[in-house]
Order: sequence, then structure tokens, then C-alpha cells
Amino acid sequence: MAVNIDETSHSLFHSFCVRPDFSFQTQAAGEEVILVLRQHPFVIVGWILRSLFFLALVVIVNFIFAGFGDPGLKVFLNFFAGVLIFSYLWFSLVGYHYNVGIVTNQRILDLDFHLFSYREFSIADLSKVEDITTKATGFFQSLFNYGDVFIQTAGSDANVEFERVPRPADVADIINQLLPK
Amino acid sequence: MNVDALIPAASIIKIFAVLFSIAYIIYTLFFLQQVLAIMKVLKDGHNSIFLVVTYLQILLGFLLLLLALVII
Repeated sequence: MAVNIDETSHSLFHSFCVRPDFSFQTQAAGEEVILVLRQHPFVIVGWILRSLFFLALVVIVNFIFAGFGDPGLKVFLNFFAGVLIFSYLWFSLVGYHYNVGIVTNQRILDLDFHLFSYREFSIADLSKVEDITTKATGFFQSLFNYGDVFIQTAGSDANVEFERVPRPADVADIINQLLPK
Repeated sequence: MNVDALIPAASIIKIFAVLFSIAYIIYTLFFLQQVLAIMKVLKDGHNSIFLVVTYLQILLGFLLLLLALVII
């Protein structure tokens, strides 16, 4: 069934938003944001597991060195470890939130947020889209219905790639609905 | 084995703790700059939450520096 692109909807923790309240700097007059994509929330599990591992490591180290060292130093080191784990989670979440794929009624944009090169913009005009390919490989991608979407364009426009986005077939369907007939 | 003998002098630990704290503050300030830059590009309803927590992280960095200077 084709996805309804006329009504606002948010699903999977705002990783698949149809007609959201969203705008961007280079948005042209009359350009409407139809779809905003983020990576599937399943990627969050990796950060949480890593954070839990480091938290467990801190507890174990505290347990092993319980009778040694200056108490002040221990308080500092524990606080420092806590701050680092929290920062890791926070930086990952910010990266997740600002790594977005945007589909408007005129073009497709892919914004990648990295700490040391804050933006990497790929833009493709809808009229130049030649081919859309979706790929979901592996057990978890099949189970949770997420994968990659490759948008190939003609001419000098960059090819756009949305990685690990939810419902890749629906993404391709929405872009197909927007393509000029 | 005497583990206490392996722990370096308090002054050295303090210097390293202060340096790590300052490095963390610089890192978070740099991160704030990046977040502010991306917020100009993308405008959505959650920007203020992200900004507040990033400021909180800088505050944590100063708290870390304070701990390094006072406790150790």
C-alpha cells in the first residue's frame, strides 16, 4: 500500500517523519518538506551496550582497588568516568539526531553531521533522479525492517545515500510518488 | 604487591587531572560550536533541548576541573 504523504506522521522515535514541522537553511520558497529520515533506532542499542560495558568496567575496577589509593582521587576518577560515558552517549545522540535525510517536493538532501566536519551536504534534484535502489542485508535489518537507500542521479548532481533508515521500501515509494511524471 | 607504591605522587596526579579536565572543557566547547552551526542549518522543535544539554556538559567539565583542584 502506498504511503500517504499528505498527512503528518512520526514513527520509530522520529526516525521516519512524514510532513514534519521542520525547515532548513537553503529551503526555497514553496519547497515543502515531505519526509525526514534518521537512522533506525536499533542503532542506539550499540551505544547503550558499549556504555553499560564501560560502566561495568568502572564498577569492577572500583571493587578491585577498594582498599587502595586516596579517596579524593577515587571520587575524581569515578566522576570523570561517569562524565565520559555520559558524553559518549550524548555525542552519539546528537550525531544521530542531526544525521538526516530530507525529501522535499523539489529535491533530496542528505546531511551528515560529524564532530570535525560538521556538515556534509549531498543534494539531488528530483527531476534528475534516475534510479532508486534499496538494500537490507543481515538478520537485524530484515527483522526490524531497515536498510540503505541509494538514489542515483543523472548529470553533475551527487548520488544520495541514506544509510540504515527505517522502511527503505516506503522511502523509495515516497520518492517515486514525488518524481515528475 | 604493594599497589600504593605504584600510584604516582599526588602533585603529578593533580596536574594530569587538571589537564584532562581542561581538555574535556575544550572538547565540549568545540562540540557546542558544531551544534550551534548545525542548528543554523536545520530548524526543528528539539534544538533547544540539545543546546541545553550541551551547555550542561560544559558545566560538568568545569565541575570536573573544580574537583581536580579541590579534592585531589
